Amino acid sequence: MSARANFGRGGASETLHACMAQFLNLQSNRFLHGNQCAIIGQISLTTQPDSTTSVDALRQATAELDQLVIDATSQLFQAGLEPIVIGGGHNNAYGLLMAIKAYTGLPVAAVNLDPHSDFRLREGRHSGNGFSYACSQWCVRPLPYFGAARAKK
Amino acid sequence: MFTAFTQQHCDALLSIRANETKLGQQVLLANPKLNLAENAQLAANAARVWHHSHC
Repeated sequence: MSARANFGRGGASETLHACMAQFLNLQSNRFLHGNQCAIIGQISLTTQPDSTTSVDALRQATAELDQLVIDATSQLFQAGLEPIVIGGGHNNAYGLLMAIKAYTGLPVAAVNLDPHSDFRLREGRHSGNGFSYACSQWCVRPLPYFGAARAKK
Repeated sequence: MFTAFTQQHCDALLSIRANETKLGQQVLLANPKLNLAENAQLAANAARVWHHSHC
């Protein structure tokens, strides 16, 4: 949804189950024991946009999803947990950053490992502008990011 | 909308070769009868117990 709101391809919402199928079948080991992890659940919009949904509506839906991510991850931080958010678009970075800032009261030092900086225009929420929105709210200190792709000529 | 990730979800994703040494046999899963905050608190309590007994 959020990638389509950024004129990209959809499908990121399938990531959780694909990732869990690999993660759950890993052998427990001395560095990572299953008892150190809790799989809490899935966050989704009550009504999912379909293939005919307009870009403006997708961006509005992404903003609604942001709030769900903020609400959910805030509760995990409050409980003293360290949440790992899997799947969805990179729009979820914004919700995570906002939740950490709300919990700590401090801006967040974030590292972004991505071929894209996700610093695109604040033109309505989508997968490519999570950091520009977060910075506009003094949520993120200057951030390093790794893996950026060279711009095409 | 929050949907708990339950034992049923977990079982469906475990391979037939799953055994007690796989993460999927050990992770704490959500209780669908509880809300997110309650599940988070349970997970935090379980983490404290595990940490005290292993670290």
